[in-house]
Amino acid sequence: MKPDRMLFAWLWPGGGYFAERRYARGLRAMGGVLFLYLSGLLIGGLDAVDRKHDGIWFYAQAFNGPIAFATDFTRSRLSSINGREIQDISWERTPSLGERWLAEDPEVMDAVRRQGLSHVNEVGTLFIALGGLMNLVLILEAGFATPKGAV
Amino acid sequence: MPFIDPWHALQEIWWLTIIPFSFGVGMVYKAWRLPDFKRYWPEVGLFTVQVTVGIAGLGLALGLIVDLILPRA
Repeated sequence: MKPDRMLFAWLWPGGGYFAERRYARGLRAMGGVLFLYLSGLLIGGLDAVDRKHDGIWFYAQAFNGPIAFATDFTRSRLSSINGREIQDISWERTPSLGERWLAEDPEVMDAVRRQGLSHVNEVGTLFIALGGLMNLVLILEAGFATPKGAV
Repeated sequence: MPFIDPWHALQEIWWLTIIPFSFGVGMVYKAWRLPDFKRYWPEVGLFTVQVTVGIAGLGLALGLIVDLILPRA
């Protein structure tokens, strides 16, 4: 077992191959995982990565590495109104927010617009989760497999 | 704003995302699986077609069962 290679593989997609100087394989693996990740973000927006409200999905997404945690942190900041995430706000108990929404307050409208709904949220979440699971294969490869070829 | 806001225009054609989905999985799988990369992109393309047709076929079969066969059973 090579824990350092596994750490490199988790820190950045393809990092395990880069640590072994297998650049051609690392670039292709990195390209694939990042393609899935960026496609998921393009389809579902930042809301496709939500550690707090989609916790089980985030277990798979976390295998993408620190980029998943950075995305979740950015989402929580950009989806907050007065320091609280929009999904945690009770609109019935906070009528002033409802009034701001009806008045099309830019802060409230931006936070509402960033919420993914229905298929695009599901597909975006799935893309990034599957990218994480594919990266898990690469992490296991980096930790346990013996390189067979030159590339 | 792309990558920040959801792309809600895809709500009606979400099923088309199976194509980039298969392509991305193929890129990683073939990077891991192939002994060399002389035929990398053709292999990724073939994988994309195989997975897309396979999933579409499963969807079609399931749709036929649910919409045509089960109502008559």
